Amino acid sequence: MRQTDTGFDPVSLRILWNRLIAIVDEAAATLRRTSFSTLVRESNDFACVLLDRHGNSLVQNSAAIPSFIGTLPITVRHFLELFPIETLRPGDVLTTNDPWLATGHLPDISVVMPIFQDGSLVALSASVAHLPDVGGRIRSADARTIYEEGLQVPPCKLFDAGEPNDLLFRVIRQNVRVPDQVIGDIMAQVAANSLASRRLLRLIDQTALDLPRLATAIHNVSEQATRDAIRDIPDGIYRSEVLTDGVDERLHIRLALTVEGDTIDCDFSGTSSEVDYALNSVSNYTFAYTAYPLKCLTSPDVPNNEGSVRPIRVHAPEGTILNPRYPAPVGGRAMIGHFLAAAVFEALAPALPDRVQAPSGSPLWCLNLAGAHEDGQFAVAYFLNGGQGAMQDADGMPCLSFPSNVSNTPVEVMEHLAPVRVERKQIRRGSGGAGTHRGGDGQRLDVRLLGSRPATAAFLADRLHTPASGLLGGLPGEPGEVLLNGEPINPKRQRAVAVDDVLSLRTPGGGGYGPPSKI
Amino acid sequence: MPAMRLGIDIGGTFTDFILTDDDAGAQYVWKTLTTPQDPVDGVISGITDCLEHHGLSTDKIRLTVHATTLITNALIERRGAPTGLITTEGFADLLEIRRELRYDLYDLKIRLPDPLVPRERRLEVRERIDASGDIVVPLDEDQVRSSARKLASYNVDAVAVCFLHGYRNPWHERRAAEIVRSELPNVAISCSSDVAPEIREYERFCTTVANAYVQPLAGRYLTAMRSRLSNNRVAVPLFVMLSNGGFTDADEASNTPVRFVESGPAAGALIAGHVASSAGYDPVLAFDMGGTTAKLCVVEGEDPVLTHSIEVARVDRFKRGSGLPLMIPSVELIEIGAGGGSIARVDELGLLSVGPESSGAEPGPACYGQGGKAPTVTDADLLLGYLNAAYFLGGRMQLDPCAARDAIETQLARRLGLDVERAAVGIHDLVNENMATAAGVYIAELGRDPREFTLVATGGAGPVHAVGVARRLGIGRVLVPPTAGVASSAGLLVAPPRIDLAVSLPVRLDRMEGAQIDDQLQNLEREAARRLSGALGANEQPTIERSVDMRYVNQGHEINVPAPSGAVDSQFSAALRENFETTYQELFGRTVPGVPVECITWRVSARASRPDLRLRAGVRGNTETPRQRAVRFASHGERHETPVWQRESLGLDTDWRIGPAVVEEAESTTVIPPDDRWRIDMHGNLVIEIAAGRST
Repeated sequence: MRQTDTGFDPVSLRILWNRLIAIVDEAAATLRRTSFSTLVRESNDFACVLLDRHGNSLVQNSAAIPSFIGTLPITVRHFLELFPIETLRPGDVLTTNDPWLATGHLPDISVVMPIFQDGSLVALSASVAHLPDVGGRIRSADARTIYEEGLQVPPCKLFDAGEPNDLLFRVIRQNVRVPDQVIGDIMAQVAANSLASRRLLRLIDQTALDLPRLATAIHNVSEQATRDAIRDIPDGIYRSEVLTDGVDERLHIRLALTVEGDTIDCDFSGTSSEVDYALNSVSNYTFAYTAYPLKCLTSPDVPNNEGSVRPIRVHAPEGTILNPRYPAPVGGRAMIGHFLAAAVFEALAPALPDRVQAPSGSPLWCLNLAGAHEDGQFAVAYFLNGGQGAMQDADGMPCLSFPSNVSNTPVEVMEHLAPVRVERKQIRRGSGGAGTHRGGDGQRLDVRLLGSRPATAAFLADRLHTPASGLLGGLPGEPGEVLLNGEPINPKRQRAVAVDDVLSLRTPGGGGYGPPSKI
Repeated sequence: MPAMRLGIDIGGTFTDFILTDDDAGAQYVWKTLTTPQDPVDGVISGITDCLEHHGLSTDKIRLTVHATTLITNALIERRGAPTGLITTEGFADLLEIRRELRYDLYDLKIRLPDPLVPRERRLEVRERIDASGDIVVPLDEDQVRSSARKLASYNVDAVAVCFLHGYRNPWHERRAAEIVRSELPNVAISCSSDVAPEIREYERFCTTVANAYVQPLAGRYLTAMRSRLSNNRVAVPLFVMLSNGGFTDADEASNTPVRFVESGPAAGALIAGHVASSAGYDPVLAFDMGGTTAKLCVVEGEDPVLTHSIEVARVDRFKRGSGLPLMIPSVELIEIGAGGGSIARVDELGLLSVGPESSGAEPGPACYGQGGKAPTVTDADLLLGYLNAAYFLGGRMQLDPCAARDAIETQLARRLGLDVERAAVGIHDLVNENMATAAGVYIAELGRDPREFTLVATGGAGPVHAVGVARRLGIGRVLVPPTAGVASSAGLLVAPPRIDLAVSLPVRLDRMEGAQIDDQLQNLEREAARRLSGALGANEQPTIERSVDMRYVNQGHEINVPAPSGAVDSQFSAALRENFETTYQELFGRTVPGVPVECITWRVSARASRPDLRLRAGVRGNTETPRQRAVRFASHGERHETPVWQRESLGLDTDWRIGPAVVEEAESTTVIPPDDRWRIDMHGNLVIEIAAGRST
């Protein structure tokens, strides 16, 4: 541990830092309580971040998900380029769902509010949430370009000096299947951002806070903690390769991770080229899911912010699945991005065997269903997870979200929202890989369509052909399966399901760690 | 009519008693060590000693109210009964799948609590009810019977019956319970439709299973308590305080013991609200700080703010999401890892950090001289001159200031590059900050502004830290009741006895069928009044109130809205919609025009009248001249010569004095910084008004 000169004494810095975290936690509570869809309140698919006037993140809400906290600062910096500070006014709210500028797919909407004190910009509050629908042909891997994936909202003002952009609201309403839920959720984000803004101004006012100086201090101590931890890893080039199902052919992620002194450089050269399926992970998302596992390995106890990621560089060549070009389809980017943690862990396993985790039954799985029922249109996203990878000193937990942090949708809520009956939700016993420690088990979810009309189903599902491998001698977990009326189907294709059809989603088990003991 | 009431509060270390004679206005307190092997032993010996000491007999006692940590501890320590689960086919694993969420994003090694029922005792039966409460697969009764027999072979003492959508239609659960009862007549049975009739299966099942798990224990305990009280000539109704500050009789408490997990903290919140309200202050932030944790709770008009879900038995004690969720009505409090024993350290960033780890009672803070080496909050408080080394626990324990200084100097000050007093100020400030920060988020989640509150401090460490916490929150007034260190147990006797009942009946407000809801509400009201009858005075009628948990259609969180009495008709609906919009506007600053509203859970509360109770302040002799001590205050650089008062010597209804001051009593010490003014009011409360303008 080294002392970093911050200009704050160690007590004041801790106190002010905690207060900033409290502000975003409060904003997150507001967003959760006023949201309309299940994605925020049941599934935790959102984040709130407070950033300095340059768009560097200061603090994030405690239960935020890794993708959004990595991408949101990048989004805010894009906004600051597109809307120079002198053009912003109090009461402005900026928004976009552009995958390249924001989170990597269209259903996530980023909402950013500049915070002014005495006429000058002092900070920004930002939130991002996964909306229940964004129009188009619902999220599916078989979209060929982004135009099929739904409404694109270019960076623009949602509110201009406090005045709502009515045309934009009308355009959104007109394009989505569940307009009340979508607009309700966006307004919940606005409410959360304004709350963070008010709270920050009060803090500045009450404590005569020099926010730029505090930002520098927070960034510097966090950066230093990360650098100290990296310095403990032996220098070298650590390599790994991870396979995923892909659609027509398997896709591979190739990583060369260089530890040099107190920096880490991740180079994804040699990774598969971008594909005409919605599996492409834009560079923001690639960055977020590469930085996240490194944070877990280096400084898990330090609150995350821009300083934590400064010593980390990520490079993915343009035109690969980790840095695709517009208008490549991107809706299922989790089916690539969620494997980056496994690539990082596998690469660093020789250096940090006591900290890394065997691959989990990632990615996050999802059943999207859209159709009509007696109350009009429905569009739902039901989430479920596979088993957790094992570690050197522990078995993996069954059914745990990793590397994302998205909760399942309760069965009773699923049946309230759409004409379905869930017939089974159970652990797939023994699906975790064997090892000195076993991988966690996946689960089986069976859903029958009710009602009187067919519906459209699409999926996030992978590891049907490439199970979560074991680590350091551990065995792989069971692969996943998706069945329609008992017959395996390809979940990368959207399909119509008839009334009484049963979909069965069986998530993969996690990989084992270390060789299984001989009996 | 004889009118003595007895309150018994069993805590981890001490069992507290309070006896009030409502006719004579007299009040007697007693404290004895808890007897963990059989807590009833301590209760009986305590009552005997208390009565003998005060020269009283049992014959005037007409009512006993009880709180205990027994249930919470049984869940934490996994000391419940072997339990089985009977559930819907296809869903035996829900308890183990949980919600699939990680409660700490960066810690790869998080653990979640094991289910209370292992896989082999979770049995499935064919049956299905749909989201609207219709039976779509009839209950397979033979399968229930064979499941019961199978559970018998595991020697279970309790069975939980949890079916999907049981909150909508309890029929299958009830029938299954009947069959289990006929097969296993000596086994405790809990149905999810009785214990927690609310949507979200994981949380409801978890609550029901927890209830079953502690049911045999609670039943034995309450039966023993009642019979031994009766053998000792205290043959009176025994009420148990629930987590929401309500009451229930011992029979009902034995059926749903999970509802009294927070009975002790509920009593603490009630007494804080009561003393403040008697002195004319409202609303209140109840602040109880002991050795390991601090608890805060908002109380309004003497009623603590309530919630319908809490979490117990956390794997990681202060991390939300790491425990077992319970869907029960409870005082909504936050618990923070901040107490006198909280340990201060230098963290991986080279910054000061305090808690949540605590040195506990063993080995305790360094200054206890029992082998504790780590610097704690109490060590800092002693070093700064807030505590009196010779008058801790009224002089029953001698503190060692050198050990405190040494621990802070060697383990913190040098490594932080601070002088030892600055480091001690840092510890004191940071623990205050941690509490204030958590309280700020909690108050905001309730949609309230902290500045409107009076902070009421109880617990051994509460009055030492109260002003620092209040100032950070922008709270202008602090109240420290008489005998603040042990005041909680009196909360058992200040609340009006109340019974709360609820039924889940989701319905859109604009499509409501009045007759069905009318029936349900009237049933609830009759049942609540019946259960309350033992606690009513002669000719006393209960007050009945209704409320509804409501939301915009498709929102996931409900808000509790007062409902009108009278028939459920169009006028009723209109009034309800208006109440909803008013409440929503208050909470979130806006309404959502044009979106329909739905009612989810209907609630009824029956109350008796509020008993009269005042905490008696000890007063002795004339005001003595205070001693002087050099005390260091965070905001005022060097040490100040500060008057140190004995609380009993101050009298009642005094003039205002200006801080700094330290006021000592046997169980706690109140610290008043410079410039803040203070007095003792006519009820014996120490009231502090915080000087405006200064903030940390």
